[in-house]
Amino acid sequence: MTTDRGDLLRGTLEMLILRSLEDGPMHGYGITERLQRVSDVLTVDEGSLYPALYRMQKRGWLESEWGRSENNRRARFYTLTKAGRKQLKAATSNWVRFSEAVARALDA
Amino acid sequence: MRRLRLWIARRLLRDEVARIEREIEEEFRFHIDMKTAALVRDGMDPEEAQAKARASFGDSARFREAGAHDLTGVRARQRQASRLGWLAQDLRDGVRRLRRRPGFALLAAGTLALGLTTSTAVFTYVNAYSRPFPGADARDLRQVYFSTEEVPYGALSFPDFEDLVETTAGLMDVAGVGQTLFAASVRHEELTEVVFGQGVTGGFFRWRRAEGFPRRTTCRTHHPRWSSPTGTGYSATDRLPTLWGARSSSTTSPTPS
Repeated sequence: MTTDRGDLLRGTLEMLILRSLEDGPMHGYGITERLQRVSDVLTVDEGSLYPALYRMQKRGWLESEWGRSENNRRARFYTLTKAGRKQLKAATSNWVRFSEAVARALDA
Repeated sequence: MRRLRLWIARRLLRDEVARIEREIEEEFRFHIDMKTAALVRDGMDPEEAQAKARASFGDSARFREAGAHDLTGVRARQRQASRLGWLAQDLRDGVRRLRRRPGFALLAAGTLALGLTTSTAVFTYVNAYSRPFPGADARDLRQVYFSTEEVPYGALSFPDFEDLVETTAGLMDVAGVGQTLFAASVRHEELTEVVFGQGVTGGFFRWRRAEGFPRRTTCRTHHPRWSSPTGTGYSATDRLPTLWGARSSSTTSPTPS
């Protein structure tokens, strides 16, 4: 049961990261800021964010390169790849279907 | 040598992993600094803000190690993609330049085609001469002369030729080539073509087939006027002219017996 819960959370975090990067390249801190800005409920733990970013890079969903941040500091910027966009589309579709099913089950 | 290569590979991998770990460390530091600054802006004490930002990372050493493991493979893949990207870019540039200057493209293609054609022609010509003679084994071929003190390598008369055929019957195959070229006109409907020819005896064409031709024969001399060359045969480039008899005296070194 714990494993299932962990997988679900991990999948959700990855989907949120992919959605954040759909708007353009971002560094890790920028991703956490954006998620907190768009949702008061969602808080991303840094201890989970970076391992997820590296894992997603390994899967080919993201690419990264060093650039300059808004305060002119060297930072690693992440970009969505074609495979990442495809993954986002699939994950979003699954999530919508899943949440609708859960909502229907709760309303019944 | 293998151990040296292994050592170099390990060393390179270790350097790469160390570099990636430094980058991860830099990335974490950037994040902590940004978060600290944000907390300070919200009114938190700088030291407290930094401690809170650091704490949010948890066991950063473990993440750094795991990240380096993941990113090492990613870096290798990126390098490969980069090399392929350069190749694709070069190809694209090439096509673009050819489109921009089609004249140059045609000239380059023409030059290449001419070079290839010339190479093929030269190779075909040289290769044809270096092939074995199509028919009798060239090592068994001998040229026969009418020999006197004044004229060591004279041509044979037809009666002499008939004598030679008779005396060597069963031992060797003899063929004659006339020294005189003749011309004939051949009419093809409305076109007349001039054809040059040279007379040969029937045995000449058996050489070309080689079937049934004795490979090891000895030319025994029964007539004082006949000579049998015992030279080493003809070089590759002399085979055809010698066979036709056009340059016989200049291409052989017979030893009169």
